[in-house]
Amino acid sequence: MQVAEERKRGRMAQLEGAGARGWEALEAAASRALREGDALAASAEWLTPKARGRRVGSSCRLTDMVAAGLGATFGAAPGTAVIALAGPEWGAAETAALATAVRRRAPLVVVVATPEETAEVARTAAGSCGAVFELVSAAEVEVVLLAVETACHVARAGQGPTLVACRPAAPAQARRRWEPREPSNDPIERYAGRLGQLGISVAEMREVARSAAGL
Amino acid sequence: VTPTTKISYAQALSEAIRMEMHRSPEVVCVASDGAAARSPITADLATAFGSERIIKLEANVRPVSVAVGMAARGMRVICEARTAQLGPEALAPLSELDPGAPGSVVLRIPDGGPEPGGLALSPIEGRLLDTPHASLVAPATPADAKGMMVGCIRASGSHCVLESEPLYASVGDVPEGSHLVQSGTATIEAWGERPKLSIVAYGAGARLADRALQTAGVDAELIDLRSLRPLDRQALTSSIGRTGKAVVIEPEGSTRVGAEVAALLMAHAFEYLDGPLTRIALAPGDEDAARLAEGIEDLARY
Repeated sequence: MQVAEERKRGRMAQLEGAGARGWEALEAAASRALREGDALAASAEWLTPKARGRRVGSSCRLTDMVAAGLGATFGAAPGTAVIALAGPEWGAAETAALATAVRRRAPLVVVVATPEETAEVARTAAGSCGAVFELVSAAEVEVVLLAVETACHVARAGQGPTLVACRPAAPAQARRRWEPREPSNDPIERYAGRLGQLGISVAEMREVARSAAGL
Repeated sequence: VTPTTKISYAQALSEAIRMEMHRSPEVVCVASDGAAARSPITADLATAFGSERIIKLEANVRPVSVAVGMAARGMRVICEARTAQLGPEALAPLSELDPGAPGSVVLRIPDGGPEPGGLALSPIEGRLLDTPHASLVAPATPADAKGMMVGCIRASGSHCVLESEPLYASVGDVPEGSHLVQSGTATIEAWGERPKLSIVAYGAGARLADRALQTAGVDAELIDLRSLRPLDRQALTSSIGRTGKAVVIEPEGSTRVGAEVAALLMAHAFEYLDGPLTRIALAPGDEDAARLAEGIEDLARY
């Protein structure tokens, strides 16, 4: 697992799970945006307590999330959406699946965790097939939440797919240890408070992240 | 007695799919656009069922991944892919389908032997046997083609049907109406009064062995595996118990099927063996029954 490898190399000391890559906002947003009848195509790297039992796929190894999410839209009831959480590897297969979703006006929301350097690849892919594109930063949890919820609303209304590209909260060179420049405005603390408001246990989230990281 | 009609292997497959699509609205077909256009099995189904149930995907979209997503939402998906499209990454989602999922995936693989491209150089059987959970069948007759396709569509989970393209035009008696063959069952055909050799084959190899036995002059039992996973252990061990010798016929290059059969026989039929387990490899496109007959005669003399 990537986190374990990073930890072995000493680049991820004292950081945990998906949060170590600055993408925990995606988890929270996808979890929050799910409604009755929706489905989530994601691997266990993206486990969220609320999303348990709603994933397409039975274990953590499901690959090709965009195509699997596209498939799940074929059986989707009207007024429901499918969220596909994809990793940073965006290629021709993902672009083709997104193009098919656009052609079919499928109720698909693709949330792709993309480092800064590949965000443009996702933008180009969305542009080439006419999908709505949103670029957000995981440092702004509420912005990510708003983008995913809006995309889900559009999908449920039958207006086709959206690609939400999310940059990590911290740039790659800052991943050794997360030290917010402004402690009073620490997005992790804000996120923890937000989870508390939503009734989600921070301890449980942390346990899930640790479990996903094989710790 | 169930009435039968003489139809081809390809027609039997097409009839099975058509029948099941009429039977249940949850049954749909998915293939990449190019494959769907070329397929003699589903080409005429598009006009009968429309594009919502005969779904054509763009070339780069992996049909197996889409099928797994559809099955997770309760659809029974018949997915077609060429062997060259089925690398480990493309096959991986197949094992991800939850056995408790409301839908199922039947992966149809027209196999005409090696195709251009690196992946196709390794026989598809090995890659499919490396995919956890999915059953694998390889019908050799039109009747089995229909029965096994129906059986796979009605079963839950994920299944692979290895279709032999060289057999598409072969004609045989096929039961009319509902005809279902469960995976995991082999057939045994006895040649002569005192069989002294068990010939294990599947797909086109089983048909070639059948022709070879007509000229070989050897008393033998021909085991048509039909199901490569799970293997029919009872049929294999009981046949070896009667004959004492076994030969596996498979395409050139290791398909893993011979190895799986050998492992099973060494574990469960070792005490019956009077000779070495052997393998006859068929070259791509080899339809020389006389050469196979010579090999069978040599082994029978051991």
